[in-house]
Amino acid sequence: MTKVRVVHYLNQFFAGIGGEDKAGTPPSARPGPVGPGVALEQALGGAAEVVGTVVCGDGRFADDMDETAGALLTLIERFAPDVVIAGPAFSSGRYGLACARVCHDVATMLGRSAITAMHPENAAVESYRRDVVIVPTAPSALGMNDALRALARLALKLGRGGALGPAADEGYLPRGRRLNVRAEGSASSRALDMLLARLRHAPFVSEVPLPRYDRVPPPPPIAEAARMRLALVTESGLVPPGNPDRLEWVRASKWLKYPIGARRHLAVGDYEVAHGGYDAGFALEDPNRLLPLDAVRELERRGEIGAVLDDYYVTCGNHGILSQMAMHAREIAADLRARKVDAVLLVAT
Amino acid sequence: MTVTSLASVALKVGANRVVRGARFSHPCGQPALAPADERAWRLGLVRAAVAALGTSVSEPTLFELPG
Repeated sequence: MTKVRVVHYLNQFFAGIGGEDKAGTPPSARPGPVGPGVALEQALGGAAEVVGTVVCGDGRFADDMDETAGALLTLIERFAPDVVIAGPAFSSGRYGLACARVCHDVATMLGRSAITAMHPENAAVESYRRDVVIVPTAPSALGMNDALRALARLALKLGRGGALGPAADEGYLPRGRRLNVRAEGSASSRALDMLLARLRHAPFVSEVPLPRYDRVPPPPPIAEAARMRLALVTESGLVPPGNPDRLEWVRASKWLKYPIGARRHLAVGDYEVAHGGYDAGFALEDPNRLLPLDAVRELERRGEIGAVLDDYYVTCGNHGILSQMAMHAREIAADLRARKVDAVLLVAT
Repeated sequence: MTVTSLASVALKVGANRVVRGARFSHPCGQPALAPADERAWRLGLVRAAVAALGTSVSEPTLFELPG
């Protein structure tokens, strides 16, 4: 069997060129393995050959990503690899980004397999985990040997044109893809097995991973409510009649803002509800039951709060996709910050 | 801060200042009350929201309506 052709990507540090003082090193290539590439070739166990090593300084890459990535791709292509291995980058942010980008471009532009390794909290993971096979590593180069062994095993599989199994079985970070597999037993019997395991305090693994929620440090309290500028935000789907911007009543793809102007309360007939998750009857009888503008105006009149922003913000939370809702939230927050809002009253149905 | 009837959900997903609303279909309303009483209740709800905004918290915290 012919040996799998591996090209290895390294930064200036692991290539032995130098530290941060050499971070500006431009892209270059040399035949054969370099630095950790020697141990990588050993881990590949004679079934593959590191035919070349491509190197770039982390600073050089970060300063001009598109141009540098293009130059690296040209160098990589000359070695005609079956598979490209980048890193491991461990916790290094710029190196991680370079490794992930190189793998991404090799796969999309050269049509070759590529794999990298880094610590799961490396910032590049969040950006690239959906598109790039990333093997989790320890935070530092102390985990080099384990990382190289894992990389070698998967790279051999990829280099021979094989497909990878599920992330949990193969030992790479989940890409968020769903693969069809044939399970032992029906869903009901598997669920009962899990329940029994739980009752026995035995370990079990859910087939439906639960979402993880970000923790946001609480902002400091408002020092003087009588001077604060308050914004009203809601995911209740409260929109003008006819839903002019077509807010979806389920899995909303957008958020909207509508003027409150000088209104003293939200009047019956001025609003309808685009939300498939609750009975809108009570809200249509009195929209202030969703967005309490009448009460907020009362506090404004009495000087208990400063001012109310003259738009309200709305989306529909019904069956909201977590990542999408988080994006809506970031965009709304950016808009509110630009308008010098001090505090938000968010009504959630 | 967040007004919602599903306070336990809001706290679990990390909302830091939560005031418990009435029901999920009318968090800021009490349809069973007479209109004037409902408006007074809503004023109390919004006052609790403003008070929550003025209170220092270190983790997701529930603010109940006063009596």
